[in-house]
Amino acid sequence: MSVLDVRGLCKEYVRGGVPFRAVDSANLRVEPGEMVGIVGRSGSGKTTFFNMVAGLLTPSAGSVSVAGTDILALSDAERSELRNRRIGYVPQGQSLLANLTVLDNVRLPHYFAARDDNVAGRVFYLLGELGIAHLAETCPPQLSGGEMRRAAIARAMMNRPELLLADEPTGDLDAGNARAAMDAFAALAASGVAVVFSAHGDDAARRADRVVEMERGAMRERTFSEA
Amino acid sequence: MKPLTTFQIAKNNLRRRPARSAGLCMAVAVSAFAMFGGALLSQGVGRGVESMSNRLGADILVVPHGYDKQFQAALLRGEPSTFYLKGDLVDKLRFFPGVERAAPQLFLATLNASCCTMPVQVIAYDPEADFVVKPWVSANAVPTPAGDEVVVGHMVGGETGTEISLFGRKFRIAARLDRTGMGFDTSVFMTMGSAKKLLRTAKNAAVKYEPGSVSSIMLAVAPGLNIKDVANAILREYAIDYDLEIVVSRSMISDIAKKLGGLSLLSRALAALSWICAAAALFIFFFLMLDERRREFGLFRILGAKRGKLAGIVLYESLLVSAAGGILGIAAALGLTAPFHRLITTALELPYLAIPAGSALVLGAGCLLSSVAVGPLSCLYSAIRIGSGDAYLTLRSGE
Repeated sequence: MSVLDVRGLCKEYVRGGVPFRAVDSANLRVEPGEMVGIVGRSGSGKTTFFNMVAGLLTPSAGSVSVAGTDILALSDAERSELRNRRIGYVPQGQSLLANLTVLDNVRLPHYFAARDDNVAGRVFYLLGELGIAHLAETCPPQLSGGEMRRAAIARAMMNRPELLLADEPTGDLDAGNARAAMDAFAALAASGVAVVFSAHGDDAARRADRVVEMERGAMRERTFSEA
Repeated sequence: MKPLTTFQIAKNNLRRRPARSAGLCMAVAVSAFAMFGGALLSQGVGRGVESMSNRLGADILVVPHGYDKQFQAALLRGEPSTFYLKGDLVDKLRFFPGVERAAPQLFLATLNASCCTMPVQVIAYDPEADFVVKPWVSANAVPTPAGDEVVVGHMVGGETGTEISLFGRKFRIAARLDRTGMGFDTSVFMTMGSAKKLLRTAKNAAVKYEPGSVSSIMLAVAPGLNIKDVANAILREYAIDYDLEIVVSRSMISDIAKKLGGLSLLSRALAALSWICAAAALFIFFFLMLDERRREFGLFRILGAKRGKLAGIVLYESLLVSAAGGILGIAAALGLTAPFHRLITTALELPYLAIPAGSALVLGAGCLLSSVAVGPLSCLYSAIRIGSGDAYLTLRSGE
């Protein structure tokens, strides 16, 4: 069973009185352990696509199935629960909460899940894997861009999701940090997590198993020779 | 590792902007202060008035012309004063038509403290004729003081059995009376005989006493008669010869009750107004703040927070602010009303009797509850609004 199955997904806005399709009939299937890169210029619809897949934005048409569950058929609360337990999301830009330490930022998904199990082991395992365990008690304003991004990845992995969505995770990172982030995704994919990430250029996309191109809301899979 | 809780998240959010959080806290504190301080004051005055009306057994009070205000001040707040009426008036009034009983009192102010160890009002009464002080003193199981003895009001210093110096003469404190909330609390009671003896030997030349004089005469009107008619008849007969003034106690109490009514109304209005102001300030603050924090709440939604959880975080923040403000305001009201109630009631010309600790506790709990409620109630709309709509749009609108 595919972890992600997107069919005919559309999002239509009215901009300046004129209908505008941010995402136009997008289709995508991602299997467990697969790493898929979505490339496209700014405004091509990548972020809108991610947010519809994560159940954060209601599509105009189409369907999204995560681990066999049609997320559009769920109530808001059920969708929140699914997002919390099955989807890890690394949003675009700096997404850590400035007033919480790295430790508290990373365990936020666990807090929202209202679980009773011991969280400390999992948090420090993830921070260790990403090389930032020594920064657990540090607040985000004192971190570098790469450290913040790694903390955001750790947070996305907190509840052991089956699907990881990362919106331009290397967008504002230097080459070294970008490589570290992509290494982390590759490791996750190797452990069976389906990873879908977006990028402006091809550097990061080269690490993906498959590359999907997005232009004016439409998706097109690149053939092996194009990649 | 401490578990992450809503309390911790809310506390961190408030600490992030200390000045703004302190400002909100102050708005609630002012409201709680007005509510609790006003209630303490008006209830204390209410008890003072009640205590006074229970203890003032006379229907008519006769004082020298122009001294009615000083007399009331001495009676209500124990402000020491000295004034005299010709003593032969006592017998004349005792047999005046409609008067059932007449009891003289002698007021001696010790404000010029050089004569005494402390500024007090000495009230001398005639144990044989008295029907105002004696029943109340007896109710405290206190015998009539002997020649060199005095009975002291609740707030007069000195232990029972020790001595107090008045006008250079020492008196033994025979007993201490319960708190009344009136001027009696700072008064010293002795018999008329002791007072006259004291005045004859007084070392202080400032005390100019005309032998046989009294300060006031308390009159009880025969049952069934109109008090004002009797008062008018006395005025007609003796106002010129004795230069006297009449205070009808019922009118005095009713005047004080009217003042109390005004004070209660004012304190309630102030409390309500400050509560509304605090609620408005919190409503505006949370409305604007949540608009600023849309990105933060959008991130919470991304991580799987349900709408109710977001509302819970916001409500918790407002609860913390209002609880801290409420406790601060109530503590300030307690700290300021207790030591300064005398100053306040003197300015308002009202008697004051502090409410019992148990009642104050209940009142404080009620005010705290009302203050704590102001936060969550005023931000309820914003709390609900933050979770509405698509989470992605919430996130984008906060960028």
